[in-house]
Amino acid sequence: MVSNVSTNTFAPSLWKRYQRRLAPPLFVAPALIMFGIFVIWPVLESLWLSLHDWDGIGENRFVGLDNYVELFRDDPVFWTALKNNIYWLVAFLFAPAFGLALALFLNQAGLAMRFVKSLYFMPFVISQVVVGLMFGWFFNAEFGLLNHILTALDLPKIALLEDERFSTFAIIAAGLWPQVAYCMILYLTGLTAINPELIEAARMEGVKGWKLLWHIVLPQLLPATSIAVIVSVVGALRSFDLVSVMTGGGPYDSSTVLAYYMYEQTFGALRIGYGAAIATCLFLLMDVCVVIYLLRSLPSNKR
Amino acid sequence: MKLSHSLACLLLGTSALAASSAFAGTVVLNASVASAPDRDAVNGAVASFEKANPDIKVEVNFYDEESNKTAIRNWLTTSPPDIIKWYAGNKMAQFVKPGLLADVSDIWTPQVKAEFGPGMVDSISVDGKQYGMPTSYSTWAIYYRKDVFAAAGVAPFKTFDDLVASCKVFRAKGITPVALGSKAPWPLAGWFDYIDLRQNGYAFHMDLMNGKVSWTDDKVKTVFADWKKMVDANCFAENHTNLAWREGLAMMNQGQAAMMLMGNYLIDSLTPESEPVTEAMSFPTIDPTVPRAEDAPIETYHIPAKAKNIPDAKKFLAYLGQADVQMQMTQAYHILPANPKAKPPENRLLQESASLASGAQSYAQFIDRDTADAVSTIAMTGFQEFLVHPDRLGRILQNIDRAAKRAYPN
Repeated sequence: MVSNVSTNTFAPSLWKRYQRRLAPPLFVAPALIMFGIFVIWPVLESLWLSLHDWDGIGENRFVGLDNYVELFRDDPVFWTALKNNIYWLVAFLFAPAFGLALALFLNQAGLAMRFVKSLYFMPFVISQVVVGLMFGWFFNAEFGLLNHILTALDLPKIALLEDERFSTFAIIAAGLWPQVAYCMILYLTGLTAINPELIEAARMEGVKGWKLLWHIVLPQLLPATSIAVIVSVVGALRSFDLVSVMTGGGPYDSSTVLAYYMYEQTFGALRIGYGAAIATCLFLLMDVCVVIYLLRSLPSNKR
Repeated sequence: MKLSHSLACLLLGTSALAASSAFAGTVVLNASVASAPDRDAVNGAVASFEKANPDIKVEVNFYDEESNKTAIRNWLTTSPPDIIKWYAGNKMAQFVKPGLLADVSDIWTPQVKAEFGPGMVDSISVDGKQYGMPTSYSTWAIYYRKDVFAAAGVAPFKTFDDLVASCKVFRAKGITPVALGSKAPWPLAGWFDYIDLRQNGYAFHMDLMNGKVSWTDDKVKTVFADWKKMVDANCFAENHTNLAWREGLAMMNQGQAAMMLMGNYLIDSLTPESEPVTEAMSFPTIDPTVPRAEDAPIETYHIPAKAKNIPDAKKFLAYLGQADVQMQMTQAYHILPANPKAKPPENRLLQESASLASGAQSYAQFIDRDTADAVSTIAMTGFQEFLVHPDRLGRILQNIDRAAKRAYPN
């Protein structure tokens, strides 16, 4: 029932007039409000906290940019963590490539193919903590399976997680296992959506192998690739569970990442302001990645 | 009308009941427990307290130790329970300074103080006032396999040089001298604490913990020089940086390692085969003129300053301090009671470790309780790095010193 019927038929109600313009913000409003309270507000408060020196129960002292100065000038662990995060980023950018290779391999009809595909997907379903535990035991220099195998093959024992030079790479290997599985699934789904007529046409022209992949198949997989890349970048920067379970940032902080260092400083060393400063740096690093991604994808979307 | 009349009567009745139950005091206890026997011990103490004080009811909430450590900071600053479990020494002092713990000096009568002795009383005092009640403590010692020692012809150590010399003997027989698991680096800190206590004494050690002495001081460097003798003699297990301490202990249980410096909770992790051949000895002397001090971290109960029912909570706290109650609590759970009048539980190694620790001049609380968390986290990681790369000592000490100057700006 229309509540405000105007006598003038040429001037409809406010709602009717601006319906088109008002409706979108009103629909988005609930989600925006939730996002504002639970995401934007904590980020702003974290930025504010990073300018203070606080241990959680005592006095909250404003120190300006002191935390950041200490972070960049005096803290060797911060630079190690940053370097490790870069290693994670670069390594995880290979995950879509490995995922694509696996997907192309599995994209065939065969005996119990669905079962085989689900087995390949299993690593992603397992909890990250369990993955970390299993790989931790596997790589352990004293009791691990890897060294048992190497000894059985008469090869020298290798200490991966105990050595400051290799610990990060061992954890990254453990992290790639579920990540590749996830990218594989993305590509498998993408492959089912490829236009078979294009493939047929290309085959008739005599295109095959790498050329077929690069010019015909990959362009059609662009949506899957962009999701795979974004998920891999985010996953690389968020890598807390594996570092925490496998080495606890060790040996002596050589495998720590920004996310774990932030946790250690906030809850272990009880320096909330300093932890917030580390979190802010991680936030800025992620922003750089997101900006690069947006700069590349927005122009192509406009097309 | 009839309905509202009877409703009003009902409301009055329930509020009267509620008011009368408010006179029966409720004490809320947030207990941090490490295992099922620990929980049974707390439940037992609560039950016997309620029997002795029928007008007080104790509500118990159980937490595991790690959750307790993080949650306690939230409780104390918002709405705390009436009794909390925490640790003595600097750990307690960091809550006393911002006024978060209640002064309980009135339950510490001269009688009670005499019963516990000056060491225990000091551990829960700040500026002459008492802020808690110690209920249990653990001792540290070198636990060793007497059969492995006998097979190698090594006798229990009298001096630190004996320890270093034995490492060569053990290595020649293919035995790892010292079992170690430093994935969580605190077991290493035991070595630092003891070498410092034996070399420089309790007073210097506490000055270092309280930021009065710099970590780059020469006396600190002598501690690391002693420690380096052990590293050079290849005393420590290889690849300890990724082993939890219990995994390191497995080597000793299997007879492949000779000894381990650890707290008495090691006793519960011994196997039925290894327990009969495991003995305990005191950390050997370095400087015979230095009075003997031991690491004996103490667990305590406290009353938050914002607690709702402080009078009844004080009654419960005083009850927990009684010798018979502490004996009852520590019987099933292998830990030592804080009250010297309470007999420790019937366990050979436990009683051995208690008698080894008794009679020391002073007791330290272990580095991660004696100094600020910001310092101890960096220090313990530093110790781990030192064991693998002793040449990096200069940089390690500078890092710890920087953290100490920040935590203790004076």
